[in-house]
Amino acid sequence: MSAFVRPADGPVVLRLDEQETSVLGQLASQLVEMLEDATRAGIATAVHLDPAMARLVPEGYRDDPEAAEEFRRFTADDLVDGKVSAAQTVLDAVTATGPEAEVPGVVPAGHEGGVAVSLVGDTAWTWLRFLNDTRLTIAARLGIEDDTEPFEPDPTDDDDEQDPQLMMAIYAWLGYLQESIVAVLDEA
Amino acid sequence: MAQILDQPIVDEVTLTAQPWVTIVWNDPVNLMSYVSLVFRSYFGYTHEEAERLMLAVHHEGRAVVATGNREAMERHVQAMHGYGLWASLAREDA
Repeated sequence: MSAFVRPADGPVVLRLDEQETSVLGQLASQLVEMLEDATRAGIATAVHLDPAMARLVPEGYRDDPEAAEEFRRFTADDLVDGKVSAAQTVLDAVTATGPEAEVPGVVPAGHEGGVAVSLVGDTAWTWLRFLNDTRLTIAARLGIEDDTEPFEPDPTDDDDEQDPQLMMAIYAWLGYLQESIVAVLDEA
Repeated sequence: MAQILDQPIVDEVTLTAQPWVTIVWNDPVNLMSYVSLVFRSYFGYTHEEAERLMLAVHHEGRAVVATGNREAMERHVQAMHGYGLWASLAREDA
């Protein structure tokens, strides 16, 4: 079970067990893949085909399609690069479980498996951005659109690639991780 | 000789107006604590001001978080998108 450890001196450490690093690794690699596919296809095209991409790369102007298009042309590639970079950093951290894999601020958590990530400097923000992008993507996939009512998966949805209940549980857990890291930064 | 000293040629409003705003929109995903932290960290708002703006986003569906020239607002919107917030810019009177 993930836990936050605050040493007497030094930054807060996020400990993730083997199963958690596995889930985060899959999510991070899927996010990288989705963003790189979108970059190859062209972001302007991808946002029209995929609601998740539309949410990750929103319109800069709501009432001016021409300005929105121009804004996207000038900003979308950098924006997506930043999201890829954050996801890749997390992917490197959670896959650094072998003794040969050295990632700054990350140590394999011994015989229990998993990793311990030191939330030093920008690392906490990198994780926050990744967790947020992943939650936005899952929310778009699940069709979470209204925060005034609890989410109920659509029983008529026959997309059996992903189990909505499992996705919902992961979504909630990512929210817990994000909330906890925000709390860490709040205390700093 | 023209009466150049009598009539101001430049409308005072155009000198003082800051006609663009950065708007953050409510969405069901972003955590309230995260939005508040972004407002403090990026814009340098106090805890109280960041909370007020975050609650405005949450309850009213949107809030103006910055006012200024168009280029500055485009930079803010780009930064907000980097944090995953739902932001856009518009003319202040829009």
